[in-house]
Amino acid sequence: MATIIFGMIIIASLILAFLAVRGRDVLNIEEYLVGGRAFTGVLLFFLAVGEIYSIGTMVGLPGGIYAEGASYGIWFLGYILLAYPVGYFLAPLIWRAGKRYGSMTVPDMFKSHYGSRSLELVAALTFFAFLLPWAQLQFAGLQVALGALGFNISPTTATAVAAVIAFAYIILSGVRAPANISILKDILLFVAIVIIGVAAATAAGGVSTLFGAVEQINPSSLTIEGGQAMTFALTTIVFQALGFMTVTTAFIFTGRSEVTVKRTYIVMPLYMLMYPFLVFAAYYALSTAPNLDQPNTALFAAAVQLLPDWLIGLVAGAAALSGLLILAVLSLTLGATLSRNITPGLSDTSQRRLTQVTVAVYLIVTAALTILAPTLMLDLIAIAYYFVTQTLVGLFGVLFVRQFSAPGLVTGLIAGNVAVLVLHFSQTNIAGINVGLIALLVNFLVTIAVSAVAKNRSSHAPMAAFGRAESRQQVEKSTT
Amino acid sequence: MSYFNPRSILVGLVIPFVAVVGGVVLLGRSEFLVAGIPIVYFWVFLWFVLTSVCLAASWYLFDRGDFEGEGASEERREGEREV
Repeated sequence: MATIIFGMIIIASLILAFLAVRGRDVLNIEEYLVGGRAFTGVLLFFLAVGEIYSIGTMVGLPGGIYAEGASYGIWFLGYILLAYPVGYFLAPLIWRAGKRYGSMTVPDMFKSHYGSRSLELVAALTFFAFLLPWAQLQFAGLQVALGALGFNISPTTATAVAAVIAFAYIILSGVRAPANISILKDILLFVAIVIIGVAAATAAGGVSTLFGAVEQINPSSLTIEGGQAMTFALTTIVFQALGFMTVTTAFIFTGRSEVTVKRTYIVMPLYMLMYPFLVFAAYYALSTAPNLDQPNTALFAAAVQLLPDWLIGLVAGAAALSGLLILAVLSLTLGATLSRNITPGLSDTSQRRLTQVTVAVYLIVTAALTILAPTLMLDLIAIAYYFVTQTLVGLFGVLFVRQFSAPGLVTGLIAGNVAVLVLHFSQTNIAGINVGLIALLVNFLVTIAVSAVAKNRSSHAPMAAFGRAESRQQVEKSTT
Repeated sequence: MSYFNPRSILVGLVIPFVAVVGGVVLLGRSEFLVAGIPIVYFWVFLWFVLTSVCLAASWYLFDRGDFEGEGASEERREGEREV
């Protein structure tokens, strides 16, 4: 029964992907990559939520709480939550730059704004370093989810099939397919998590008794210790809330206007109301099955204990779609970065073809790595997040800071990435402060210093300069 | 920087950051339960809703007029260029 429900969900997602083709000129590269910049608020909301909550939601958060308690749970929830106010203020400007320059990726924006090929390349490579491990995380998550839910598929088959499905999603219509599928995925994920959470709380005899039971056996998992654990939690919340802006840019370009993008961010925190249920389920697993081999299976262990067969199928479907959708979107981003930023000057048709080929190669490579070297990329995921966040300085340059120059940003970005490597591999611990935050500070300082010498000669004003009051003054001037 | 309205930043950015980060600092070590939930979790859950409220307040009180007004003026400018 579980298999039937699961299969139906996957088939439904494929139908949604193929329906996305109808009536669209999907051969146009702007249509293919950013949906013609025409998504309404509702569709933008679903795509954003679809891109943000990967399979890591069901694997990483419950697993982290199970293994490390509240300090993990709180920074995870805190950084996602605070990413939304940051996005509310920055995302409309990113959209503005995208519209003004015709950008479809962040390196695109850098190229157009600064006219600098080296900045474009360094930024594109930084994104690559993030996209590879992030994809492998999805594959690994799929293996964990399906295995723990009792599906009898070998990890190799699961990975291969997942790669084929992710490819099928986007090959025909580009980003419109993930946008359509995200509606199904977002609803399923929310429902599945609420069901598990409610079942957990009910089985425990209420939320109070659930946490009461945890307090009996593992009281330290409910609080955050002071000192370095607290410093780490706080600096990580701030760093990742900022970093989130750099990894969730793809959907911003698909919105139809600045106002649409800004308004979408207002409601995005509300999707997080699924998290209390996820937290209940994680602590339920902690109190009822305290000796799991793999903490990452905590949520699924709770689900298997609590839910009937057909609901397990629903949970598996939600988990699978979360992983597959992110894979599809990531491979599209990677394809776009390669076809537009690494090999520039291609025609629209060649860009689309190269994007499609890259998507296939990327899925094959990351799937193969998952099967052959399962832990290699997962070791890199933390560091990859540190890397990609370093592009924030360039983003600030495009959006606000006229003084930042291309040479400054290139050296800053390289310095930031080197700082990440040095701090990470020397295992330097500076009062528990998040390593990426220190590297970001280095990056900022180097950018400022070098920009003071090699001044910015770009003729483009930062996006915020076209803001409210000035644009009105311009209008007044031009009408008088 | 004309893009930012200081009052909008205060309501939409500063208040959520101070509340969430400050709440974690003050409540993280507490073993007190609210509605059966450890208080630090309860506080963060509460801010899922309150952050949306803050952003909505920023939009409706401060940003809406500027953004929608600006959109209109851009259309006007484009229209003029065509003429």
